[in-house]
Amino acid sequence: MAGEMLQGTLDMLVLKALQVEPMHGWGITERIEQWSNGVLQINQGSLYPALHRLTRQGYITSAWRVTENSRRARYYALTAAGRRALSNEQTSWERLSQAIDLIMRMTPA
Amino acid sequence: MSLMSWFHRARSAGRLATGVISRGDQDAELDDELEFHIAKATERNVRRGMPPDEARRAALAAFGGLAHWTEQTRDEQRSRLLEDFTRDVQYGVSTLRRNPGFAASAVLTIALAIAATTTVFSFINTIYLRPLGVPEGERLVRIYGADRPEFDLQLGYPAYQALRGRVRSFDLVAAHYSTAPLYLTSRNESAEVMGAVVSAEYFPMLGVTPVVGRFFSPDEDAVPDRDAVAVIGHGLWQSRFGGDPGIVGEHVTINARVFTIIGVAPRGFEGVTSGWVNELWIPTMMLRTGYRWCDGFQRTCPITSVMARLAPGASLGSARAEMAVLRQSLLDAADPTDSIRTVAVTPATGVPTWQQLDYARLSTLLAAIAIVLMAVACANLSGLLLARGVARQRELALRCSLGAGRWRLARQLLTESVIVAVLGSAVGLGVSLWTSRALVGFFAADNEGYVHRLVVPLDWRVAAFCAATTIVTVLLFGLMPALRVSRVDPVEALKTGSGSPGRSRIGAAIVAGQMMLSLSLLVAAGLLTRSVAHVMTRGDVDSSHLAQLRLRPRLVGYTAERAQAYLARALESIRRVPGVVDAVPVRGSIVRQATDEVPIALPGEAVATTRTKPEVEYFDIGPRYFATLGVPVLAGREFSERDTPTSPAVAMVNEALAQRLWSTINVVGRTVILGGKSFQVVGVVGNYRAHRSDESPPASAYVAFWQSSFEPQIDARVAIRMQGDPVQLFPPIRRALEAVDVAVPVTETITMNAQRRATYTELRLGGAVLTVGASLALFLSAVGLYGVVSFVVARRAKEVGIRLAVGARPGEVVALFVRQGLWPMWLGATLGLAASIALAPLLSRWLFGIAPVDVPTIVGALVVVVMVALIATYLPANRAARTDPAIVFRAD
Repeated sequence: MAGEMLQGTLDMLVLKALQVEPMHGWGITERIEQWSNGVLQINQGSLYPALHRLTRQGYITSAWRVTENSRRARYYALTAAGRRALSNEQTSWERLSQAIDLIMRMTPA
Repeated sequence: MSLMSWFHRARSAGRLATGVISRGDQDAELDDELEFHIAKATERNVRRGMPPDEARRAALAAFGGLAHWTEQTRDEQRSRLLEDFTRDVQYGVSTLRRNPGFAASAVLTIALAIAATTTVFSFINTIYLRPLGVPEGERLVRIYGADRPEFDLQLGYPAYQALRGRVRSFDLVAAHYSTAPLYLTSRNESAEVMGAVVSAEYFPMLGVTPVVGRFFSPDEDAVPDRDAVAVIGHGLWQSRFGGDPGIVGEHVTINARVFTIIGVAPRGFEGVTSGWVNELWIPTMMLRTGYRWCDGFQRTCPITSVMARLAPGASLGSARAEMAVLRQSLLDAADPTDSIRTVAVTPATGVPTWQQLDYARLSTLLAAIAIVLMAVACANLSGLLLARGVARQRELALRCSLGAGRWRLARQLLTESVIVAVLGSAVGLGVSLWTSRALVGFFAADNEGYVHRLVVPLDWRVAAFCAATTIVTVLLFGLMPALRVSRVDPVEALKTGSGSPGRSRIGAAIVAGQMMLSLSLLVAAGLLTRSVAHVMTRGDVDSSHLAQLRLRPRLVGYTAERAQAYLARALESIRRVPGVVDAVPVRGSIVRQATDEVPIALPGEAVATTRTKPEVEYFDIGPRYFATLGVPVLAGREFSERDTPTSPAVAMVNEALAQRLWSTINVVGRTVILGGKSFQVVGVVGNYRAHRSDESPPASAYVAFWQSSFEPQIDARVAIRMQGDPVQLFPPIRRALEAVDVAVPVTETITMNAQRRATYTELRLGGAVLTVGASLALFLSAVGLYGVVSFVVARRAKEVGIRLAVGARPGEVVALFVRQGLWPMWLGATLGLAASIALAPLLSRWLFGIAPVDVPTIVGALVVVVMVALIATYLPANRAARTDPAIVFRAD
């Protein structure tokens, strides 16, 4: 399963990455890789469909800007709805990961 | 070509197609955005030490198919319908390319079905429905007498005269005799030409114009035997006269009379009798030259047919109403012996009515096979699509969970289905062009050696109908997965990863049905093939060194005495040709048909009694006829040169007649009365002629040629036995006959093999079509079975893995699947056997030398079906058993 993740997870990670600052698609990829110490490799092709989906759902907006190297790029930013969605996702994710963690730590009696 | 670059090209093509109008800024932005992403990834790769071009390649590769994801991303946007369609087509084509097995099977299945149905129904269209290929052919009608609804009788010349000018619904009425054998001598060459004797209205009625000269004027068709003028066909003009533009005014001899050519018919004009190509026309006033058996101007000799053209504004209904008023005067003008009750008016479509009757049985068989093939193909297609739908359940569920709507999925599947249907239809139409030609080839010559040209153009209405049928099938079954997925909870589908077992049961039922049809067709094909073998080789005499020709002194007006003297000398000269073993006169052709039936009786008996069937097949045969054919005489002797008009009248009978009359074959010396005249039986031959299996051997009587009183010997066929290939001897025989009398037409020169082939055209064609049909059906069923077993195997892959992991030998696993996979075959085969036996009586009219229920044929067909089914189940089962269990588990 390395390199792949469930659809909902990718959306959550994208929102998380954008929590800090607006970024272009490439930046999001790099940010997630960097934060996960290179463990999570975004399947780059699924990123853009995810971005458009999130845009349509109203969680993010986008605008064309000029990058630090004077190139045009589309930057994505969280909306208020996106922030709410992120915090909801974060809560439920924590509950889920704790639950899995508990199970995995069980030792045969 | 890699998938990637293909995508690129397809996308560029798509852009060109959808073009400037529909492509919005959104797309440009998406491209820019992705390009930016690739550029950044490339930069990183370069920083990590890759050369720039490799860095970009790696970046593209990491993207996993840039264009593909571009398309997917665009799917998330709302775009315009036309562009969606282009993309669906691109995506559909690429999906099909990734499943070449499915795509090829589906396209092939559709192509075969379309080719078969289009060919058959185009043929039937030609036989029954197509108007004549002349301007306004749909206005033409045939007028004929009928004693039963489906049977047509020529009205004859007096009826044509009674009709002409009396019906306002017709603007032109013409008489024609379109199967006139005209013996044409011109520029030192003689040959028989299929001609027509036609009234002056004929050409104006058909709306054709001459390429050179003119057609007949009313004045040239006014006085019997006065105006010897002729029109020649375009083909004859080219072949015989080198397309000479100065042809008008040239003198030629037709049936011993000198004619003047006045015009040339346009290219492609072949007369009014489809399949019988006319190349020479003379006016009806020359009827006595074109037909010599009786006087065609008398009502007792109805040789001419009547055609008419509906006047502008007139309808078939109005014409029939007017004709009803004339009924009695027409019946008074028609042949009183023909028992005509009504006069029919029908559109002049297809081949003539009397030939439509000949084709009825064949057309029925062809249509039945085409429909069966179509059914098998549609079943196959549905099976393929269902299996594929199940295989794609996961993909569809995934796309569904990604937010693709039900309509979106349906549209995608729809597009794929349409691509398959369109491809298959195109291939099928291409194939049918070829199969139509093959079909027509069976009718190229008849058993008298006359050339026929039946033009079977593709009927586009038929093609469109067939294509529509397959497209509907494809859509129906192609869409099922989409409808199904919308009912299914995506999570469930993703979890289980496979469809319900119900699908495989439907597939198995389809396969069973196909196997049933295949086996029935195969049994029928086997029966017909063996019938063909029987009539072509074993059922009759050895024909490889036999030929026949026809000498027609009557056609050029010889008296009986002159003709008989000529015949005697002609036979002698043929026998002297090196390589000829013997030449014997005979009335009628060697193969199969008797020329006549005559009343038969025993001495002291009334002609018709309950003890004997009143009529018997009758032949006039010359001396040593049976020796020439190689048929043994069972008792007594056959005719010799000593049986002359002045010696005692003698006859021969076949075994069947001897048994019927006297219940023994020791009948030499007994007396039989044929047609009221006494004959002494001198010999008995076996029932050597082929006959239908559902009939007993025909009873036949033979009379010595020179003693025959039924017709004076002024016209004869000659049976010739020779050494080597008969065709080689035709030229020297013809030269020898010209030396005897160059004026007498020598026609219908044909080898007995060719005569046999043409006599049994219908049977051979039926056998060939059934064989092809059965093979196709079996092939399609095998594909279907293969698909079902593959599907079952794929669904139970995990189980196979477990079995193998716990130590089952691959052979055991194969056997398991083959056993389970074969049950639809056994079910189908059982039903097929029952169907074959139940439907056997339908075939009996086609069978020669074999019973309708023939155990060896059935067993043979069964063996073929079982073998094919075994292979179709073994292949996928074996593949499953050879896979590494580890791979199976990892796949989940």
